[in-house]
Amino acid sequence: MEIRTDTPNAPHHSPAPDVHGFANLVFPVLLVLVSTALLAAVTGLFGWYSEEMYEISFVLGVAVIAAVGATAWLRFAVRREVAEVQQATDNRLGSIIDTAMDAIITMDEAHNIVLFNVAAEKVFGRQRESVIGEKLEILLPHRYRAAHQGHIHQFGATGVSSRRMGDKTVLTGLRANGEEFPIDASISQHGEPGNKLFTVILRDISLRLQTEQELRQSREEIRELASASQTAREQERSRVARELHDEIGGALTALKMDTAWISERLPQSEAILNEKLSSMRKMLDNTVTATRRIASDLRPMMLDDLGLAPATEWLVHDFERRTGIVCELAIALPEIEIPREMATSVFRILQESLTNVTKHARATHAEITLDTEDGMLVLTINDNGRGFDTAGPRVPQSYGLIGMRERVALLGGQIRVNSVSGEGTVVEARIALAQPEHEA
Amino acid sequence: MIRIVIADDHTVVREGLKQMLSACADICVVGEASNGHEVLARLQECPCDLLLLDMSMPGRSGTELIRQVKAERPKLQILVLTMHEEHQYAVRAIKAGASGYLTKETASDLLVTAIRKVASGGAFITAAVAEQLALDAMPRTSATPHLALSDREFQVLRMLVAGRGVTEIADELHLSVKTISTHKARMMQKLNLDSQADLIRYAISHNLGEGA
Repeated sequence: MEIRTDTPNAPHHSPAPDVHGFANLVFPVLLVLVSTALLAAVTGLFGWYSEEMYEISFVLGVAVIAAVGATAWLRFAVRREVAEVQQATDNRLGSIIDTAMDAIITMDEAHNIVLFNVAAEKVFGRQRESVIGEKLEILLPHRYRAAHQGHIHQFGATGVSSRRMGDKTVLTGLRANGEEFPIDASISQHGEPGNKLFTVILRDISLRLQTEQELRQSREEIRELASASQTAREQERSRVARELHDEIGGALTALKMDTAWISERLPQSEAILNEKLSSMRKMLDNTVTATRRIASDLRPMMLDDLGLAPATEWLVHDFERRTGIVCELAIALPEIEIPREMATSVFRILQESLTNVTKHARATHAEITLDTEDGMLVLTINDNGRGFDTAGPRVPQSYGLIGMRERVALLGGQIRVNSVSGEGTVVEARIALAQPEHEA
Repeated sequence: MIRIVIADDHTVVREGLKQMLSACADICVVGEASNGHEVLARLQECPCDLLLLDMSMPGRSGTELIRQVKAERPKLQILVLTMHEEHQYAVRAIKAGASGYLTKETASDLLVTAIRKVASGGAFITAAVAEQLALDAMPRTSATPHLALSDREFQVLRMLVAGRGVTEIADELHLSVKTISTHKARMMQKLNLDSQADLIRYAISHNLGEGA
């Protein structure tokens, strides 16, 4: 930022010129001369005239002149001092105004520009000399000029000392090269009616708006990316789960049947072979169970094959069996097709919430409901665990809740987590059933 | 003689099954299929008594395929042989028209028994599936749809009939209001009713009040 030492902008309080100081002396000198003459005349008239008397009155007169002169000079000196201080203040004010990052423009009541700082020069691409005395309107696009005049007039009438201009809307400025740009401005007024000054402080916010736009876009992109990667992950899981279930499961089934076939034909006398075969069959059974578990952990096929309600039922019962946490499940879904992506999200939110119930809540009882309300699919999970402070800081690396929020947000829904320390946790997800075109 | 068509997309599984069945004099495999389309074609070609069907095959499969086969050949018995052990699958398969449901895990021990039972017009299902079927399948044929209500739903219904509000019931059962409302909504769906008043009227007319 350029700092200028000259201050052509400073308001002009003229220092008292020299003539004024000496002019002040004329009246006292005349006064003394007149009064001396008067004294002489009076003393002469009454016959008191004497050499001494004349001398006394002369000395007196000179003394009076000297006193008055000294006073006048003193007054003059003080004034000059004040003027110098004023000048210094003006200089400082001027340089502050010119150092300001914001454009500062002052105009008089006729909307003529009387002050235009360096920032204003930069923002509008105009030289101070070229705008001083011009109407403020030259800094606005033509289409806004009439309205603007009305606004200033209105503001002047309110008597309010300052306010933000344009309220919630973004105002537009006009550069010398004809380019328009968004501004944020406030206006203040000072002085008496008839001699008012309006000061506008404004800044070019194109960069800010652009940054905001970029931030919004970047957030949108991150969200889309998260969505795409989530969808891809689900598809991948679904594929792998099916392969495991069908291919590995099929092969294991065939092996089991083969071992059964051998077992039937193996003579009882072959004790070692029979024992080996028996352990092989046991291992096969375990492998089948493990394969099935891995597959359904990846993605329960029931979700795709049978739908959300049966999959929810299965998940909750499986959870109850594994954890011993008593679950009350209530499902009331109408006979409608729930889009795959929505079913996946609801299922994953339930899964995540149930995991939280075991991991953090130390609950002994949980209630799960899945139904519809005013065209919304509503899932609630309610436990009697120890709860947590929802306003507390997020545990690093714990994306569970964020993940749930994102999932629901992607579908234009909402998720609420209500928890009171010691009184359990309620998770509620709401998603509109009628979705704008979405693909699984 | 029981004539069988085996439908499974895995050749090794089909081979294993054929091998197992070859030991039985009363069972004869007359055809094989590896997808839904082939199943329908095979059934057209060769007369048979039983279809041994995998639930998940490429193309048309599962309950959809069962329904179509049943529509074309109502007298043909279907025994489902699948990797899915969850009863939810079994219930749907039976509702779609299958007579038996066997998981591949237990096939080596139970297959022959299951085939004989289903072929003779019986059913082959586990106790868990039978119970679910009793709960789910009854309202479609019975004049007393409330038998389809779960114990909890029944409990809530009786309390509603006794004039207690949802909040009151929730307090008494130590459940949330939301859970009770959802149970109520589900009952109305099961009984095909539109309002709580209808629900209570139904309960009274079927003598389901407290003490009933």
